Amino acid sequence: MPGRLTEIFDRAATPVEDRCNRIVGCCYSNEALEAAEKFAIFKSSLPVDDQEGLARILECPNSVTTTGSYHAMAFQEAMKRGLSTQRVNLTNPERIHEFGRWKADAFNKRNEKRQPRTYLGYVVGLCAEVRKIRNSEGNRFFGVFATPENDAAHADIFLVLPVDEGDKLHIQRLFHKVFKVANMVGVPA
Amino acid sequence: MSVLNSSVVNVAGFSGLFSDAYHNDGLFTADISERIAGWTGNIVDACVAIAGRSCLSEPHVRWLDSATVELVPSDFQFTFLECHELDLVYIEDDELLFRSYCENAIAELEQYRSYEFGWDGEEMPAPNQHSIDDAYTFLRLLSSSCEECVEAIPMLDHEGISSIAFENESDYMSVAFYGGNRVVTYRWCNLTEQSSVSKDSLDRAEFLNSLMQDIAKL
Repeated sequence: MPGRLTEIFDRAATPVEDRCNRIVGCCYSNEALEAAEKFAIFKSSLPVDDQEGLARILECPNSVTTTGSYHAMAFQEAMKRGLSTQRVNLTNPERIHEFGRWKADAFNKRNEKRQPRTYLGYVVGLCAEVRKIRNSEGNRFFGVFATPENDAAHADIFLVLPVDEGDKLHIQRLFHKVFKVANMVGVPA
Repeated sequence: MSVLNSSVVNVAGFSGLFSDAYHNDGLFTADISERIAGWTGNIVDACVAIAGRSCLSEPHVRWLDSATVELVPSDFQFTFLECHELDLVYIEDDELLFRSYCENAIAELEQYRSYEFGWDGEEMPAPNQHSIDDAYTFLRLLSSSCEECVEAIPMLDHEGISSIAFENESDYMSVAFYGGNRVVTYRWCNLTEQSSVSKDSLDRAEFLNSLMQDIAKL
């Protein structure tokens, strides 16, 4: 019943931080997951195709360290609040950079006492590679949902299965492979 | 250590009974002075021998002078003589040097210690301190037993659990620390595209040795 996603993504009905647990609670897998990914959560939602590139904003120091490698927490949001991405086919590099700068500025204004974030650029991973991440029983860990809530190009990567200790280590390795930091598109000077 | 040595005996500086004996009784003849110098030499030799035997490090290096030395973990495996009362040398954790492949990971783990709830600006939990302790101890052990190794990559998950990953072209291995010596290991082989997960305890020597050997082989 993909229609439950409408309620989950309705901010008035479900707090944003509860989205991940609620989606896991839906127990989507196989055909049900594919149907959920094709469901129009918002009126303007267009399903994300396997061959689409997903751009992930990279900031220092919370996703990339000062030495240029991924921070330990770089992709953990996929298992907690959903990993926010931009669909490359529906946007362009300038708009992605613009979003990245805005996101870092917004954080810094909200958190004046914390270490400031610097927008570095973005890295692109193929949607199909995210969908290939599976557990030992062959079930997909993540769903990729079109979520044009405030931005037509926005998509979220959400965990759809409960994970155990070994799964978490497996996922950590694979995210670094799907989104290669060496391929980062740096912000223009 | 301050010792009386024949080369620094200053007869004019004697006082009290020694002075009386020297000036009035003629005790310090050339013969006596020579014998005192001999005893002194023997005492010094004995002290050096005791210190040398009581502080055997691997690979059995005896420090012959008091110059500043740089220590690496393998120098700390002291054995002590049971038949002597000795002054022990205490070395704090933060004085230990780690091998270069551990240095970045250690620095990162120390940074994790300072994180509080919401450290990412959202609602990320504070890292588990027991997990960090175990990861630190594991790296110290690895550093003391493995001279060369691939770079240790620190990680932290959304539940505050620390892990350390090791990777070469064909294999990937990570160890997650759940506190109380409980660990979960994950291995991935690029050639076979097979993964395996196991749970164990760092208390179990056989498992620990096997794990460190596997990491050293990467």
